[in-house]
Amino acid sequence: MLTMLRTRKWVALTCLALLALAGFAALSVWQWERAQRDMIVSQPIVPIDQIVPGSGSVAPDNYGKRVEVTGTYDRTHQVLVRRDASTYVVVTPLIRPSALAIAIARGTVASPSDPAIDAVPGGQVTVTGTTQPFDGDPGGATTLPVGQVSQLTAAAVGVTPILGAWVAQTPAESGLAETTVAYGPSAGTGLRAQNVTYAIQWILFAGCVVYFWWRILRDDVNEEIRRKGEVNASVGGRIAADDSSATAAASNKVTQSKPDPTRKKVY
Amino acid sequence: MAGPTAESIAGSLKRYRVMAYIVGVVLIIFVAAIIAKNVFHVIDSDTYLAIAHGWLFMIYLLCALDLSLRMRWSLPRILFVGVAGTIPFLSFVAENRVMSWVHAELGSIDTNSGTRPM
Repeated sequence: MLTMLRTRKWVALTCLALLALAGFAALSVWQWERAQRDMIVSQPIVPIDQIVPGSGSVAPDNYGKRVEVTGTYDRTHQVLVRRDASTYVVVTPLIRPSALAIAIARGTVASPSDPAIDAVPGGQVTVTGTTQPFDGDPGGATTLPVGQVSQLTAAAVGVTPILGAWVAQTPAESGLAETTVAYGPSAGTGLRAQNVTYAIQWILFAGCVVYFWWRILRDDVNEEIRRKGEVNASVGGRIAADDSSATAAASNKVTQSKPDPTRKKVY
Repeated sequence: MAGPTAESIAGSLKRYRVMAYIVGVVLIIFVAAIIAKNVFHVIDSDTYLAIAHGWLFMIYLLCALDLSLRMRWSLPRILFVGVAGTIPFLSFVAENRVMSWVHAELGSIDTNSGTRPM
């Protein structure tokens, strides 16, 4: 078996197998990392004014950051952002003394008549969430009922001055569903099952590489043994023939050492 | 040692064919779900189909490799049969090819003769 491993074919096959193992391991790690992409993984909480300096636009790098803000909700300026017929984001501005107001998406409801919408916490609150960009062009007039908007913009919230980013509260206010966000981790979501299974499968594929490497090697070794057996038989036949007749031996050698023409050898 | 027997190849071929059909059908449903989700937005998630195809494809690949090794096929042929499990409709084509290759190389393998013809 060791002799077999030293042949050029087996050095190449073994290198290929090792490369595949390294590649599959890397792919498994990659899928494992992807599986965690929705989770809040020990991301530090920073003061919002440190990353969102004013009411202007915010660098995309600063979206999806975990922030903590303290203030008092202004329930008179609360709006419902209609994402679709069964998804309404509840956005309430948080007023802060001697600082810009901040639009907080407290959570999501399925119906604009959900009583949880009006359950706005009173007094001073501290909210944890992730920074998100306002939607683009608010467009023209809509047919939406009063208190509902189609785009989440600073103007839609109607409080000035207001910070140039909104905060998706994570986890959402109790009674409200999580808000879908474009940036960063959102609370309440765990590992992605699809990527977890892919990560496991890459490991299993690596196991297959080892198994099939061994199986092909075993087949080759058995083949070698079988071939040697044939050669020995032919050598034995020649010796036997030598005893009787030299001319017979010569013809024997030619006929018996000829490889089996029907034997197919592919790899 | 004798090579793989005709029966063992017949069993391997049967396993491969069953998996080729299952993976082929699941793959088409999966692709339909991807289109339904991302183009027509009529379904929310195709995760379960993705996971199902992942596991089934793995079993398919094992069956394909097993058969390929028993048949002593070349690497390009093995790769073609393996990759076919990830491309819609191609697994049916591959299954067809595999059948014709096996028949061409072994003749009819329904006969329960002892060892595989060399």
